[in-house]
Amino acid sequence: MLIPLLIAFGALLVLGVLVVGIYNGLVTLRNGFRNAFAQVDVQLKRRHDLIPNLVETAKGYMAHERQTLEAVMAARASATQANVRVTANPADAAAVGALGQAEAGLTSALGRLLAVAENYPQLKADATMRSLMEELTSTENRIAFSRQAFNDAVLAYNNRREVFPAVLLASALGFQPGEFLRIDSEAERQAPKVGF
Amino acid sequence: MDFFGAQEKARDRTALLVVLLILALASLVGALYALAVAGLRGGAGWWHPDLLAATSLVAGGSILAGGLVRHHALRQGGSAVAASLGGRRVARGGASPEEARYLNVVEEMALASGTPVPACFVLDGEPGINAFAAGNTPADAAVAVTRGALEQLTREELQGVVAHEFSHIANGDVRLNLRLVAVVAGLVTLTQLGYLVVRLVGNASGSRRGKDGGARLAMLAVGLAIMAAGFGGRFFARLIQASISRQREFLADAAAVQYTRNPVGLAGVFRKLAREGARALASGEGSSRGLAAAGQADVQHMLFAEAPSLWVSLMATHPPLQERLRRIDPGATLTEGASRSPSPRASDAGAVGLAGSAPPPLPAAADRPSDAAIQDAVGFRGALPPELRAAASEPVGALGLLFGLTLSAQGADRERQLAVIRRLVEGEVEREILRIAPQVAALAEGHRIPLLDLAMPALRELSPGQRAQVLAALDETGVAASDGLMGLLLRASARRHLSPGDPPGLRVPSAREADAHRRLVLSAVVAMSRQDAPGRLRSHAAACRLLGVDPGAGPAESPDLAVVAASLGALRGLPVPARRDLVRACGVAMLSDGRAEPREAEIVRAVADLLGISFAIAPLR
Repeated sequence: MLIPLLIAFGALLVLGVLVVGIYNGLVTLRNGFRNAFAQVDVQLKRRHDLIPNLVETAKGYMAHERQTLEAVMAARASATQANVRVTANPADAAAVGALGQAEAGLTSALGRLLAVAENYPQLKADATMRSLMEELTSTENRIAFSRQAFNDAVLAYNNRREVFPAVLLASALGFQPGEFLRIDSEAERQAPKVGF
Repeated sequence: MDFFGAQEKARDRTALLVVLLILALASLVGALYALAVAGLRGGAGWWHPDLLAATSLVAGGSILAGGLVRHHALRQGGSAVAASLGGRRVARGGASPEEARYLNVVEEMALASGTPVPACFVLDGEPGINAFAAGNTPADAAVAVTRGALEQLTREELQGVVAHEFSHIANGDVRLNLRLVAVVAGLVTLTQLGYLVVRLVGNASGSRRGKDGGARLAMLAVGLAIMAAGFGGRFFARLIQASISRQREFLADAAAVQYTRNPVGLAGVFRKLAREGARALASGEGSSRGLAAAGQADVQHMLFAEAPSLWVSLMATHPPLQERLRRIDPGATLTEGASRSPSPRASDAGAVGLAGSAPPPLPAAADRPSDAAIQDAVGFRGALPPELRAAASEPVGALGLLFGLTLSAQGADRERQLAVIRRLVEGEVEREILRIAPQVAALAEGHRIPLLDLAMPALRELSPGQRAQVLAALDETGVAASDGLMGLLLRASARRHLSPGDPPGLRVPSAREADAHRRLVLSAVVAMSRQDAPGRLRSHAAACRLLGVDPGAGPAESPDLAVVAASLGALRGLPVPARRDLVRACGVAMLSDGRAEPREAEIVRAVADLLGISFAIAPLR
């Protein structure tokens, strides 16, 4: 009578400790990547703030390219909107995916603007434009860097979530997989690295 | 206020902890044993060695298991703990005005107390006023405040709260808390386990009724019995938690007043807390509020204030507010309006502001300057260029600062180092270095370590992979002999903060080795002073005497930097009190001529940082 009881108790203890450990570990990692989004957010906002000035400056030289300029502003607006959703909850996979797409859209719209700007030597020579471009490039690099930190944190969470035995419990405890922030249209690789 | 005396009094209550732990264990085993005898042997006879062994096993096992789980969870460092309690990290960019004020206050307190800036968190869902500090060493510390504290407190009051949390970090309370939380969690495990059984049985009985009702009832009884046995452990757990933590709270309040030089802020917080508490009790909310609610019972004592409750004062983890107020500002009462002007006593102490004012006059060259004088000398009071402060607030800028501060001033070395750094973040770090280079070059003496301290939160945001890259670059750039002791210490500090933990194989040096290392480190500190040779000899001797080390032939004239670095590395193997004493001795060496030059203060601060000691020095044993 005693031995089986002891065994049952031991099993219960081990099980309880295991569940609590898994739960706490997942909570910590999930909050970890939520917090890692703060830095990405800072840089994305900086990029969004630069664009109106850029468009304003470009307008002075290329009034005929209204469509291109408007496309950039529209892409910025949707990126800003997508960002609000993710800031509220970086663990929302759909929102992170949407943000990645919106930012990729913004990147390619910017790329088109810069391609068109090639035809306006005066714009390229403008001091404001040059410094804005410089800052934009620097911001892109910083976005990539902070995005790497964010994605590393998501990866750590997803890995923990998917290994045995956590995988048996994660969904039941309400831990959804985290989404990587990808801003990878082909445009990203060409666009912002335009040298003046 | 005799701050350091108070610290002595509150020191090391380990003996009490052990006694209470034994009592708790005994009560747990006793309760379980009685249950087992009644349940399994029908109460026949009271001596069953096998049952006693089994119940001891069960009680010990559950305490150990529960304690280990909690210990493991908390060992991950301050940021992880703050995040697991629902904290949201506040970054400099994108902070609301209140959050920006909070970040500023934290930075001021870090500089004033000579500690690296911790990671800052906000608990958004908490309307009450509260705060906590977490982390095992100053390097991985985090502070968190509630949304309510951000919104309801004035800047001065917030400063008091943050300073209070800082003193928990600096005094090693956080480390103590870690063990305490683990012990408490272990003692509470049994209750939780019983609760788990009751819940499971309860849930199951909802679905299929009738058939095995007897068995379920038995299970339910077992669950309740385990819970009942657990309550004994819980009772003692609360007692342990309370008795240790109350003393620590007084201490932290005292230290907060020392850091801010202003008891008015903290007094205002106590008044607001008292009003909040009265309101909560009146509306019957009692202790079921926010952080203090059920699941977090074992972190109660980490908080700034306890939820109002009608609990017996024996169980309170925090002293009564009235008493806390009286200790920092005798004669003040909780009901006074916030507009009350500081008492005369307060204004004696509050004469020195934080930033931009001259350091307080030091006592004349006494044989041994007081700990308070050392602490004051090390606190940073200058103003840092805003552009560098801004750079320190985000990861790439912080990397630029880190490398900008550690690079050789010029020449071929610098070119080679820049080539290495060009690989980081698409050359962005190099650009940052070049951008801030003029300001870095123009930095006054004694400003470099404080700047690095400011950059710490941003550097902590690097992912492990990124840290590894940065560390590799730091190694590759190397240190040139011409950079001096400071270059070496900056680099070592950065390395320590970026590394995941102490390197393996850190061994305790033998007494002889330790003496030689300490003599050398003190030589290096003394060499930074502008005293003449006899003065240096005296300072060195005074510091050595403090440690009971034979000063030997006096300070080495120009100690070899690489050897000093190796000595400091070896001394990290010493236990914490010995490292504290070494930091104190460095402070004595710095102050024995009655003056603390910024560069001396910086060295002492860097040595402390390297030894993993933060700057609230405990009294000599």
